[in-house]
Amino acid sequence: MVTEHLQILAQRAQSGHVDSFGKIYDLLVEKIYRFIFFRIGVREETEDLTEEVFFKVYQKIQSYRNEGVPFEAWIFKIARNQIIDYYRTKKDLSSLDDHFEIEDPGLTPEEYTEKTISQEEMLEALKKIPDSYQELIILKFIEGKDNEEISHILDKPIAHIRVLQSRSLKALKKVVKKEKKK
Amino acid sequence: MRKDILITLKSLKELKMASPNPTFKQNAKSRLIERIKLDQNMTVSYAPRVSNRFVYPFAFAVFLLFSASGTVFAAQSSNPNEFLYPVKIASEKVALAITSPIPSLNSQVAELVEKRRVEETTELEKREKQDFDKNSTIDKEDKVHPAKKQEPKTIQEQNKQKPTKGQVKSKSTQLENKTKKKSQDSISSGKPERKQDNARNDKPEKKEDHPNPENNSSEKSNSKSKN
Repeated sequence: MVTEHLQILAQRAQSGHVDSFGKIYDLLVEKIYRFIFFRIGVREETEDLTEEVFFKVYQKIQSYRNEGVPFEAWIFKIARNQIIDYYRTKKDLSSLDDHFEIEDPGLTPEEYTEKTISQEEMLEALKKIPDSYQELIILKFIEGKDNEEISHILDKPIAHIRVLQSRSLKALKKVVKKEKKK
Repeated sequence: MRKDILITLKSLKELKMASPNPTFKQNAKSRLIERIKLDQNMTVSYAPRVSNRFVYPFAFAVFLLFSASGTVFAAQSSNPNEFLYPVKIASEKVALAITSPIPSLNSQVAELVEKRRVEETTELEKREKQDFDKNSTIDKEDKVHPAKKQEPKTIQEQNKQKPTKGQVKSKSTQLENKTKKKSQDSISSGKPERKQDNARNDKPEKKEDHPNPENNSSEKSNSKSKN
């Protein structure tokens, strides 16, 4: 339903309808922001990159063709390329460690102690696995996207996505175990 | 363990810091729409952009088409033994092959091709005749003016053939002697001195043979006075 709505909005935006583009932004800004934040970890940078991604979407919207690729996946692909460019210019992957700070997730005190610790551990563990695994975990287990959509975003076949999925989970498990032992 | 990981991963979606600030959302949206409107003003038309990967092959195809059609067009006026003549023949063959399923057109094209062959042969004959005439006139000229060929062409050769100062002096003395002799003869024969002057001026002999009418009249007057 949402994908169809997005498709119609995309067509309108292609014909120069600015309000439709505004609606696309409203629908996807949170998802894109989250995707960038989990990969970068810096709020200010995430905000800048999110804005830039949406402007790029506007610039490239004429080249979008609805040939089996959902519009949302197409935007995620642009966001992914933006992140790659960001790291290419920065060439400082280690800086990722310094910027993560856990904020109040709005849970009950019991849940808070239980979940925040695990969330912190999880964020730490995520940073320690390879980039391709990170991307897949964010898209698959945090955003809840299906394999087909992920294959469009990452430009990889579905079979490869399945393999990557199990490998990334194994890698994350290993890292979490290590962190707990410490 | 795996379940725990999956649950915590899902919970990360609700993490407050992982979602954008509402003020940022609003400000970013307004900034974005402003940028888009500015960009739209810059580019008024929404013409679909043609990517470069189609432009170069298309340009190359157009170039090939133009050059091929140009050579075929140029070949139409070629004659046998010329560089483009095979192209002309090939184009005729293609035309015949294309029109072969249509009998009426096929005969017309065949007639045209035959006509062309006849024109080519007449053109060739004409050219041969012209060449033959040219050669014959050149031979005749050589026979009539053989000296022309011997004439020196270069400046050095011309200078070589020019007489030296000594030669010129000797020639002038020879002429003076001749005129002196002639004057002596005229005195003895009683002819007027004017002719002597003419001789001194080295006038050509032809003029002496055919003197001016004024000279004739003077001569006549002299003869009358003598009489």
